[in-house]
Amino acid sequence: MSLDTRINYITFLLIGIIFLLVGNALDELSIIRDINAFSTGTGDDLKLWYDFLRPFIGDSGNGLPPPWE
Amino acid sequence: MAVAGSNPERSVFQDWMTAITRRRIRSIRLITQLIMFVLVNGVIIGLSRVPFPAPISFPAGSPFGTVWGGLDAIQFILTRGQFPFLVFGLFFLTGATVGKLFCGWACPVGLWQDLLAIFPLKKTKISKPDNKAFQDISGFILWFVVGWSAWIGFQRIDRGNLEENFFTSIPYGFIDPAGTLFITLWYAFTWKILPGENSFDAIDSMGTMFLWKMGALLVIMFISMKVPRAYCRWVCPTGALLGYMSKNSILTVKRDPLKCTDGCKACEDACPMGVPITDEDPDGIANSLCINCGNCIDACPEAMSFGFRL
Repeated sequence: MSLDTRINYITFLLIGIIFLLVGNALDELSIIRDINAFSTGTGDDLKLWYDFLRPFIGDSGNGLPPPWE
Repeated sequence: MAVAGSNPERSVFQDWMTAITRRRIRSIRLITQLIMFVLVNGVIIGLSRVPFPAPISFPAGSPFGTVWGGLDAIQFILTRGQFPFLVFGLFFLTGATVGKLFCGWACPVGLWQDLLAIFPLKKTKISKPDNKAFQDISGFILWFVVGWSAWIGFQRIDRGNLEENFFTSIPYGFIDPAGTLFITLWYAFTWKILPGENSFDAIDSMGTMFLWKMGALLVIMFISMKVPRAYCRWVCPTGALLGYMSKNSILTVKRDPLKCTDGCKACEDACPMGVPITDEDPDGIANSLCINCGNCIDACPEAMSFGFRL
């Protein structure tokens, strides 16, 4: 096995650990929680859900209608 | 060894057991894929949502989803003007340790692709150079999506809040079959987008985006029936990102060339990703397509095995 292989995966492991720590310090998961209404425990905020899911479902003029229509 | 269904005196159960024994890893993998499918869509069985990205092709915010797909998390955080350190870190660690194992054993889209490959349609043989060339599409999509998301993020910082539309939160959602399967179709049925009294009413109720996404899904489905795991090979940007690390991952598949017979390509024939296994380093496959599925080991357990590059 070549030394390059070991250097490669050790580098990615180190960068991965550093990135995880930095991401954790920046509280990146809060961005995910903020947009996920169910996760934040704010209940069925359909407007928030709908805005978030629009890339997948389109809007009333160009895809599926909002859930309250 | 008897082939399933070849001996009329054998019971169906015996034939099945023979097939499962011959395809030991594939059977274990299928069970694992089904369990992961249920866990990833675990809200159906009452599991809680965990707002954490996973290195699989899965949409963020799926109605039944317990986790976020990693690529969607990357796009969403980038479009908010922040660099997704945590998600990239997760991808780097996963890719460097187990390679694309999640693609083969956990990804719900991977399971869907495996099931499509069973469809009895004449398979198209893709040459090794073509397979390699088409693979570049996924890398292009990945970096286009990342670049676009980053640009949106800069715009958001520069101008303040941007309008939310198809392209300013998760641009890849535009064609993502995972999003279509696990969000679009689900909402299409639960919101009764197809309520028409006849089929023409139903078609009238569909918007351009819905038709576009369904068209993309059908094209991907058809190609995946002709070429096993075509989406995973050539299009999936999640797999492309993992592929950069998986070439030198610790977990790998090894081949004992002393036990190989000249001209035998059983391992390559069994590979759903079209990896040119016999051209690879026997000490460990260094190909970004390999998903560590183990089909090659089932095909030739004498020469092939899982191993570690330590």
